[in-house]
Amino acid sequence: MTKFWFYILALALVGCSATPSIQEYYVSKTEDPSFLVIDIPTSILDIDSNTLSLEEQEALSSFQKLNVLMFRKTTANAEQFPEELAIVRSIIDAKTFEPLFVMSDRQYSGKLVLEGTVEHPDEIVFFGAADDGFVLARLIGSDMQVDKAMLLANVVQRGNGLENAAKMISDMF
Amino acid sequence: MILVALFTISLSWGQDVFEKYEYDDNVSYFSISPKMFQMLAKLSIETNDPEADQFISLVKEIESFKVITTESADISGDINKWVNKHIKASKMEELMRVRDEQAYVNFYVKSNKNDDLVKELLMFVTDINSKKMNLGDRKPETVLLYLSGDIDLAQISKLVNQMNLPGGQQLGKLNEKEND
Repeated sequence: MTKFWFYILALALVGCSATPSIQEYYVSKTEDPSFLVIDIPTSILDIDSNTLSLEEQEALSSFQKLNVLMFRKTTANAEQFPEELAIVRSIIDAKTFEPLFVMSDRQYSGKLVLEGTVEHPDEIVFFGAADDGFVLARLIGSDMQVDKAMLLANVVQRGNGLENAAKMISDMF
Repeated sequence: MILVALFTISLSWGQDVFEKYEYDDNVSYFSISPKMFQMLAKLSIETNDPEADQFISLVKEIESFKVITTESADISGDINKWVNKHIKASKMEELMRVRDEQAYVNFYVKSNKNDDLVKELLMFVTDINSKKMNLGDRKPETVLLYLSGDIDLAQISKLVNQMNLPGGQQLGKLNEKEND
């Protein structure tokens, strides 16, 4: 009988380690030269919170950061590519995430998934893959107010948030 | 033993042809889940364009939207099998079939008796003559489109037309017939 439980436990452990969580995957790839991992806080948009209405402030603070992971295929890591692709797909297709939309073609594929409820997702993940690499982007927040996202888009448009962000990102390279 | 057999049968029946080929290189696949539509409905998008507003209100009524296209004959056969099974399983009726020089298009619907809205719509396009249609460098053999929700056919034809998929024009003709 104890043997039986041992097997169950072993199975459970194997089950866990086979698919890492998305967070574990990010962390494990930060040191990998084939990957580029960028962490973008929403403060990069440089929005002056004094100019915002209370509602807009709440919406903004519910979005915390954007985590981007990129893999670019080179001759050196070409063998690694299908393996990594398979791991990311198994993470994205896990029960943790609900698919929002999926598209795939011969050259490209894209998938948008969410964790949490539609009303207040905790995380929205985009995964895009092509023949020469893939990108995994996580929008992380707490109780993100999706219905306010449009409001936020207006705010970003009003300031020069996008230009600031683009400038900062291009400075990084 | 019988139980196991039944179980496997129900599994293979439950297998959705769309998800089955999701990662297949021989198909193009596009799907919007019910969650996405719920989310879109929540976004308070405002436009001043009446046509766009109409489009948004249409989107709010849709629950699920899937399209699969393929150039492979084998997969086409499998899609055909799934369509026949699905029509029987969810008791869909044939709405219309059109054959012209462009393609052979079949429409199946599951409708409510009470109103004009359609619960499920399948559009199955085969024998596509890509020379007659301008679809870029794609030469699909088969297109299958699936929609569920509370669907107004008149509005759907607009959506399909905008996506530049074969069959859109036929769906448009459908409305003309209904209006006569």
